[in-house]
Amino acid sequence: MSSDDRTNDDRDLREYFAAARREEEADVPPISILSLTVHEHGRRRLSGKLAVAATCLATLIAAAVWLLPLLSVSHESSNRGRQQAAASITSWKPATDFLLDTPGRELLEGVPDIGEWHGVLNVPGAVERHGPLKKQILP
Amino acid sequence: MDRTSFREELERMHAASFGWALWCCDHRREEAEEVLQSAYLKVFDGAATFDGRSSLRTWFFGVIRRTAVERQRRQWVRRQLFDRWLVGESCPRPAPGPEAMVCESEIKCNLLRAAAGLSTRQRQVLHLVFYQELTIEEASRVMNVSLGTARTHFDRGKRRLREILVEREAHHV
Repeated sequence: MSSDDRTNDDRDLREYFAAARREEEADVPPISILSLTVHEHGRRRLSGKLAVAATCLATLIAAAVWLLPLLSVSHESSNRGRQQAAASITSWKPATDFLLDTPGRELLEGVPDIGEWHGVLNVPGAVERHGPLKKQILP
Repeated sequence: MDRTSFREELERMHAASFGWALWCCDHRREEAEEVLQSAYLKVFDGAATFDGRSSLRTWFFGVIRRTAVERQRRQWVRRQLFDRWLVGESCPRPAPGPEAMVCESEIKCNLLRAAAGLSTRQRQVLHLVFYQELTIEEASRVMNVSLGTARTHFDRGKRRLREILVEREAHHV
């Protein structure tokens, strides 16, 4: 302590504080209790850390067990969904598609069938104009 | 300094450390015990490491002061959160502990009641210089303030403490 801190003017205050120190030092908790609780606290902290780590591990395992089947199911359903989406794209029709349904449209979609000729040829008076050609011998 | 001698040194100044913790906690004994224990934990867990830049006593007193401040801050936040929001009004700061009011000697009683009229820094610097017999420079290191600031608090604190003690004596006479 430097000399300026130890001035005689402060003797009165020093006496006050010395009396307080004497009284307080007589009632100090033993350090063994504190150090014991320090060790206990350390052990408790270690066991607490282990418990937290074990809980985290158990939670992770439980989450994995619970999530794996869900993931596989969701994978299958996503495949199915993709297929359904592809099918719906090919069969999709616009809302105004009915406007294109004009009468006789089906004739344009294929070769029209004229039907049998026999009946037409059997009509009385009908002359076969274009009979079978016969070869003629030229003079 | 090896671990054993470090521990022995801490044990040697245990009483002084407890006295300092008591003053940092406004003489609330249970709180002081918890603060001192937390400070020991910090030291043994390695959360606070002694780098040898100051004396062990100065350094450890600084650890105790910071621990007490952290604890008081936590308590303040808790009071603000729970008392104001949940109860609807803020609780006043807890009064000094029963040790402050019930003393064996009258001289200590007078000192504690008079010291309650000082600011925290004034109380702390006076305690460190008169009770722990540190220099003002060492006290400034413990309190983490400049030497000039510590001197100012020391002078003003002394003056104010004397005034209060004189007033109290006059009142009693």
